[in-house]
Amino acid sequence: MQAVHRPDPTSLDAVVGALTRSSTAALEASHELLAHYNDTGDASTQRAVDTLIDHAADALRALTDSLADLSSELQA
Amino acid sequence: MTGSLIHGDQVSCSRVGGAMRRESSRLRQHAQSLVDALGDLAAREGPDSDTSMTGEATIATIANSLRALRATADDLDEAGAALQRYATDLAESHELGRRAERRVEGAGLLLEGTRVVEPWGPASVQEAEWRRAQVPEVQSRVDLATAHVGRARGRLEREMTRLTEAFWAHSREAHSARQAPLPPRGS
Repeated sequence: MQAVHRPDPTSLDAVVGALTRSSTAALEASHELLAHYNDTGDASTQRAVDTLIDHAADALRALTDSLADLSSELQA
Repeated sequence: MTGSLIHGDQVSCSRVGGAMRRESSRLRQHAQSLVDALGDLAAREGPDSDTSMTGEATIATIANSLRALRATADDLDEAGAALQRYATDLAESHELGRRAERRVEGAGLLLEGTRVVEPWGPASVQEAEWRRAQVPEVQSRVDLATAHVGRARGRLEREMTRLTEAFWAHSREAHSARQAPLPPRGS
């Protein structure tokens, strides 16, 4: 009879922990980006920088949710 | 820090660029921890991973998120570096602008926006001719400062536009990953 291969719970916990910490770090990074004021001195350049910051924060929040979901599903 | 010829605050641009690069570095460290944890899990499960509880499909799903995390961190570092380069260029432009403004003042001329003009009012013929003779050289100083900052702004805008599209793609990838839940254990 073939042995059922079960994951080492310690290793799985480490993956879950790493996913959770990565998710938290992504959320903190999104907050950090939005917390800073900057003045490029030109309206068009300023719009380009502000748009980038908004999109970067969006990407980080999406990653936050995606990594947190993976962590929760692995724990279930 | 803001002169009348060149606008903008290089310190605030440098600060936000530095914050982006710091956050990028933290995210890369977390990504590496995740790689290590996944490597450890794979090593402990052995070569039979397709029959394991974790499964190749699950590992692949996590690997997709890991790729998105690393790509986002890399682009954040690039954006931060671009802002820091701009901060340096802006500081140089402020210095060029200050020198140009001193030349305008020293020649008894005025600035209308970025254009060097002669002042209104009574002046001797000799004085008026001397001022007029100064205009081309003084204008070239002003143009040097405005061209320097103009090139820097063009470079920054191109970089920001390119990286904005990249971040938009990373958002979509992360949303797609959420809409595709993990396969059942062992699949």
